[in-house]
Amino acid sequence: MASEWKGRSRGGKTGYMIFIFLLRNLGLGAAYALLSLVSLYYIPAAPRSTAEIWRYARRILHYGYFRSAFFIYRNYFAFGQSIIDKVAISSGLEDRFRFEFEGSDPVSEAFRSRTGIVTIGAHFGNWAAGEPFFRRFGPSLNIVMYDNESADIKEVLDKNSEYGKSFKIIPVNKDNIAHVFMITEALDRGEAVSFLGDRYLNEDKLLETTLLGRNVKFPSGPFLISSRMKAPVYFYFAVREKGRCYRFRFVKADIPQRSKEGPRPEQAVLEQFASVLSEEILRHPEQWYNYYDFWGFRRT
Amino acid sequence: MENLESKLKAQLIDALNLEDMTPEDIDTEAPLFGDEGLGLDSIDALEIILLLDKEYGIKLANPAEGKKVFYSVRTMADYIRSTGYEG
Repeated sequence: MASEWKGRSRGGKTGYMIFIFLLRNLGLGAAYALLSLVSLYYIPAAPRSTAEIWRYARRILHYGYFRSAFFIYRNYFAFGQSIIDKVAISSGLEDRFRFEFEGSDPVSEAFRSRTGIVTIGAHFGNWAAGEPFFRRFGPSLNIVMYDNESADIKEVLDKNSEYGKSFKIIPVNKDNIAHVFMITEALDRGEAVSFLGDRYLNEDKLLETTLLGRNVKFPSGPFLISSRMKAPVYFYFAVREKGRCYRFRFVKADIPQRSKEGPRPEQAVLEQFASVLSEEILRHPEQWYNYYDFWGFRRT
Repeated sequence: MENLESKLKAQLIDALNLEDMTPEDIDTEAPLFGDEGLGLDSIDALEIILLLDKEYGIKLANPAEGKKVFYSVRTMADYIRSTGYEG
């Protein structure tokens, strides 16, 4: 079996519709309560994802059997909660959450002054919970997403919430180069371009680095583009903490000059990214949502 | 007029790290992207966008136009000439 991501996330259209239904009809607390049952259901119903979480818990986090078994449940619950929160925040329930920011001042300034900025996040935490933050600056955020994931989920969210109104999606298709022009055009307009830097469809263009003690592959695109454009680059993570609080962290990347002797700039950016991502994963391991063979355990 | 095509080929080899190739290996008319011809991908497209900006002062942002311009070395050279380049 190929180990790369197939372009779709767990929790497709139906999953989103169920959570939206719960939220609208039963409220936020009740939606969480019902989610606790749904999370249990997912353990046998999604055996491949369950196996991936198990491997992650056992071999990356080095948890024991019992802790790993409970961790599967915690992970599914956290993932469902991130979807409920995302929809809740974009449906007028923003005041039910607290938001804390770390390193956001220069990012706000880049948005305000329209000088162009690149952010790189991951399928970790809940980057979309930051929509109220980005909304303040108008529709100047462009999210680079894989094409087949964006279409059906966006349709559901468009009909049911304000989610997505504050940003534009640049769809990526590995057989097309249109997205590259859209990315450079957005930065030339002084807008923000946001990548999720942990998944890839194209196995030919990968970079490698160590994450939590394991050598793993990342897409080269976000890191190459970041290192070659003149816009400042920030790593962006949004994690859920106790008390319905979202903590947003922005860390500026240091882009080295290209030289024949030193490491390639894209590799340097990736290594900085992996370092910050490692810190965040260790703080909130249950908010890691890559349900495919990201760690390469099944690769031959 | 063939000069610009040769210069572009050398610049592509340098920008895209096509170390095993010489300008003579690149067919002026062959598609740059996709399975035929040179088989470049979207990451290479970024390098070419930056190359055109740096070397020829050309900013290409329109995806539809970009696709036509980036079809081959010939289409790129023709586009560069259409902007008034006389090198």
